Amino acid sequence: MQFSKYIISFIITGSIFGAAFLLSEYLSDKKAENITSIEQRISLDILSSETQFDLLREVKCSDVDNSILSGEIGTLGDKLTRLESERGIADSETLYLKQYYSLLQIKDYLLSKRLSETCQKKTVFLIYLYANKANCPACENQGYVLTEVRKNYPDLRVYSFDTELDLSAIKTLLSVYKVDGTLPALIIQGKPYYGFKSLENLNDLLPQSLRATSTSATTTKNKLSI
Amino acid sequence: MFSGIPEAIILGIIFISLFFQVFILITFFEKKENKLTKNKKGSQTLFFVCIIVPVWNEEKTLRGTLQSLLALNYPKDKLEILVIDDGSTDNTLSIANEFAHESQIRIFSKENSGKHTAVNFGINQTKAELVGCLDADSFVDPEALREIITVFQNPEMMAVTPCMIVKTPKTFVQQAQKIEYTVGALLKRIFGDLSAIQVTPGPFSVFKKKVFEDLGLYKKAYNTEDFEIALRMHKHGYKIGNAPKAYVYTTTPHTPYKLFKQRLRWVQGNLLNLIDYRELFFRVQYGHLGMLVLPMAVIYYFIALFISIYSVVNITQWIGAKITQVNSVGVTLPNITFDWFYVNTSTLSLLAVLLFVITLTLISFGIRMTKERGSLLELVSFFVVYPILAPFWLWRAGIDVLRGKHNSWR
Repeated sequence: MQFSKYIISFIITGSIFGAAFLLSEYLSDKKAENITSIEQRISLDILSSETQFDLLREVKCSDVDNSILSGEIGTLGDKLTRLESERGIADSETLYLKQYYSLLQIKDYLLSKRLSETCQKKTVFLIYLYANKANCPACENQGYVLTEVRKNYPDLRVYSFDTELDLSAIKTLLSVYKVDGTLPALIIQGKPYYGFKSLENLNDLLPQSLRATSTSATTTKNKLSI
Repeated sequence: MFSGIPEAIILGIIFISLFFQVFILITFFEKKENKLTKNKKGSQTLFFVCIIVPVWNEEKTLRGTLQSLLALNYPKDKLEILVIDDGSTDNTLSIANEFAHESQIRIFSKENSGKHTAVNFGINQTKAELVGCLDADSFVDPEALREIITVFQNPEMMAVTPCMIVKTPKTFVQQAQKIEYTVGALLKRIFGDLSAIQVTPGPFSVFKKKVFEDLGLYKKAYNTEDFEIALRMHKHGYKIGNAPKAYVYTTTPHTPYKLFKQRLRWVQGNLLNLIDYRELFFRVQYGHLGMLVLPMAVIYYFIALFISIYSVVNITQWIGAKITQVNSVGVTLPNITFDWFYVNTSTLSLLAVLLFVITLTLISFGIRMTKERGSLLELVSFFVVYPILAPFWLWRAGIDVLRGKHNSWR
C-alpha cells in the first residue's frame, strides 16, 4: 500500500487550504482598504465642507450647492455591514472602521445641520439607534423599514448608530437627545421616538415638506403586493 | 454567517472532503493502465461463464434482459444463462419460457425466499468457472462480457464489476441518478486501481466460482448481499477489479418515494454490514479499502447528517429573516448591482467553491468515461434531488439501525 499518496494528498490539501486562507485574507484586506479609502474621501469631503462652511460668512448660500454633503455615507454603511458579516463583529479592524464611520456620520450630521440652519434649507435628519438582535429583536425589522424609507426619500439624511459600539461620541449623542435605552430609537428633526415604527408610521412622522418629494410612486412599480 | 464551533466543523468537513477528492484525482491522473487490459481480446482465455438472472415479478423487463444476454459477443458454448424465478405471481415465468428453446438458457422456478436465495440456487446449478448475476431490470452491452473477461486475465482477479449506466432516464429523479451513476462509474474505476471496490453490484458483477466455494454463498445480509459479499472477499484477501468499458444499463427508481425506499434499504444494509465487518477499518492489511474507502463512507454519512441539520437551521433562519422583511416592508425586488466587494470571499466560501468545481470536474470525467451525454437539466436535477431527498433516507436509515428495524426489498 502506498502511504506516500496519503502524505502527498495531505500536503496538497493543506497547501490548498493555506492558499485559500491567504487569498481570503488578501481580499479581505483589499475590502478593508476600500472602506478606509472611502472613509478618507468622506473625511476629506467633511474637511472641505467645513472649510467651505467657514467661508460662508463671506459667500452667499446660493453659491454653495448640495455637493458639499457626502453621498457615500450610505454605501459605506452597507460595505461595513458586509465586512462585519465576513470577519465577525469582534474583528478589531472592522470595529475600528465602524467607529471611524460613526464619527464621520456625526460630523456629517453636525455640518449638514449647521448648513441647513444657516442657509435655511429644509433638510430632514433621521438618526437611527440600534443594537444587536439579542438586545433589540425589533431592530432587524426597523432596518428593513429604513432601507425602504431611504429609497423612497433620497433627500432624507439617515444616520445609523450601533449603541453597543464603544465610542464616547455615540454616548454623548444618546445623552444629548436623552435616549432612555428603549431600542430601536429614531430621532427625527431632533425629537426621539421609541420602539418599532412601521413604514406607514414612519411616513406619518416625516415632515410634510419631505413627503412631497417621495419617490414611492415610482418605487411601488417595483413593489409586489402580498 | 458562520462562527465559532460550526465554522470549525465545516472547515474540518471541507478538509476531509478535499483530501479525499485530491486522493481520487491523483489516482485518476496516475493513469496506471492495467497492463492486462491492453491484452488483445483475441488472445484471451475465454472462461466458461454462467449468468444468473433472478426474477420476481419482472414481466415488463425480463424479455429485454434476456435478449441483451443472448446478444453478448461471446461463444455460445461458453456462456449459459440461468433464469431463476423466485415465486413470481405475474407472467414472469411464462415470458421466461418463451426463451426455453434457446440452448444457452435454462429456467428454474422455486418458492419465493429472496433474491440471494435465487442467486445461490443458480450457483449450485452450474459448473461454470465464472458466475455472474444480472438483475432482470438491467441490460448488457454486447461487448460487456468480453471486457470483463479481459480483466479476468489477471489470475489474481476473483471478481470484476461493470460500468453501470442509467437506462433512458425520463423523470427528473432518474436524470439525477444518471449523473450519480456516472460519478459512481468513475469512482469504481479509481477504486479498482486501488483494489478497494466496496460493492459488487447486482447488475453483471462476475465472480470466479471459487469465491463461493471458498467463502460460501450469498447471505441475506440485510438485503444488501452485493455489499456483504464484497466485504467478505476483502476480508479474505480476494481481489475485486473493474471493467470500465463493460457497460450495463439499469432501470432506476422513477419517483422520489421509490428512490427513497431503495436508498433506505441500501444505506441501512450498508451501515449494518459495516458494523459486522468493522475489523476491516484502519487495518493496513486491507489496503486502501480499510484505510480510506470504508472510513470515508462512514465519515461522509455523518457529514451528510450534520450538513442536513446545519442547512435546515440556516434555511429556517433565512426564511425567518425574509418573513420579517416582508412583514416590515412587503415584497420588494432587490437592487441588482454588481460590486466585487459584496462577493463572499471568506476562506470557507473560497474552499466551498473549489469543492464544487472539483465535483463538476469529476462529473465531467465520469460522463466522458461512460460515453454518455450529460445535459444541464440532468446536472441541475442532481444538485436539487440529492440535497433535498438524501437527508430523509440517511436519517431514517440511521434511526432504523438504532431501533433494530429492518427494511424490506420492496
